[in-house]
Amino acid sequence: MRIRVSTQDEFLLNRLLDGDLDADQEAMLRRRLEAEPDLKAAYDRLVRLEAALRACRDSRPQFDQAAFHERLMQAVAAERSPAVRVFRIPSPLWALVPLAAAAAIALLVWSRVPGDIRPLRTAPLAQAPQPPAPAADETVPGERGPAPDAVVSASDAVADAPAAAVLAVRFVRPAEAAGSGATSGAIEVRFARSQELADRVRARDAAELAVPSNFVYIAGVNRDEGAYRALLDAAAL
Amino acid sequence: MSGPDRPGFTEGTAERDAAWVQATLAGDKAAFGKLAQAYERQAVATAYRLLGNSHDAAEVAQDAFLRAYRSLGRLKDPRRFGAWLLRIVSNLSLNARRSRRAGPTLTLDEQWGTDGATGSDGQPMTGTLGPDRRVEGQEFAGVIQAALERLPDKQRLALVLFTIEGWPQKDIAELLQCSLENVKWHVFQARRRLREMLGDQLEA
Repeated sequence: MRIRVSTQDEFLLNRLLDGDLDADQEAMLRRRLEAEPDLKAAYDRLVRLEAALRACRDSRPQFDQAAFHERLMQAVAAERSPAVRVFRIPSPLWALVPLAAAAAIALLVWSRVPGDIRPLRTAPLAQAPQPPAPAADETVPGERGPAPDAVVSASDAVADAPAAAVLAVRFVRPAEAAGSGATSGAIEVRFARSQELADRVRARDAAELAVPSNFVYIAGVNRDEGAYRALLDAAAL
Repeated sequence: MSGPDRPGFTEGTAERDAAWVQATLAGDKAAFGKLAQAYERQAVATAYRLLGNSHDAAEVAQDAFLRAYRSLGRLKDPRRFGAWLLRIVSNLSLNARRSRRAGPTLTLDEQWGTDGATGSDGQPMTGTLGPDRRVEGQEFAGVIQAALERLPDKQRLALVLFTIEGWPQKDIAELLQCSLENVKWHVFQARRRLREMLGDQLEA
């Protein structure tokens, strides 16, 4: 028998069957069922399907729960206890986490084979026709005398670090420039308490002026002075 | 909702389950035994609906309990152990189905009966598949089961759990990780497909 019912009405009939309609909607639909033979036939067919499905509800699997349970618990007995695996760091050590991470990065870079590794974070290396204008104590020229032939700048993302962060950008002039007679470079170090770091970077550069170009970034977010110095020491600056 | 195997993970059982989960995690295997007893029938019944035979259902249910035990520490909300377990059961059942596409072995040795849907007059439709039509009913149930097997996974799961197992739709939504409206839609589509597949067999 061909029954013509719209999808919308069919969905309404499903909602009626499932008790999803409010009283008014149900009353209205039941009035329609009395007046519309196709709608009524569709609903009766839906109800017969539902009855057949619910008849399946009473077909229970053959299941011996006692035997099942015994077998299951024997298997569970052979298992290790499902302990909660939580890795906890003692609270005093939390302060050392960023320090340790920064020191690890710094040491990794410091132990590089010259020229073999890429900078951890490539800062723009630009030819600067004019030396960068010092901005208060935030910018420290690398060398006095001739105009610097290169500038290392901290990226904006790093510049957004907390004020207490330590950032060192070490610039050693490019290898190709080492033999060219060029002696100048620029080091830009930002953030508070960076002067000491800048001085150390410059001293280091003076000692290693001939090593190939590389950058070292050290970032820490530790406000403790001792940790700050430890950071510098760890980086051997 | 009535019947022996209705969903056990109601609000009332949430705290009980959470306590058993915590005790299990503390090393009390007997507490897991209590959890298992609370959900064994339901787990096997759910697997049975999806797999079609008792033996496979018990195997899948046991596997699901063991996996649940091993992963108990990763259960975010111990109050939802039941839904979580039955999600494992459902997933393992679906995996088992996919791995044995040759088709289920249906056992038709169970009791068949009726449950009251209401007719267009709002009255219970009793006797639709009454005792005098038991053999006929068993045959028709086999036809229904075969038709269910051909439904897409989500539609079959939604229809089986809602109509046959009597789960609340919100629990099915959690199991399928979809909205309540999606569950209603899956049930609607499943009925529609079944009706198309069964055709004249549904006529009075």
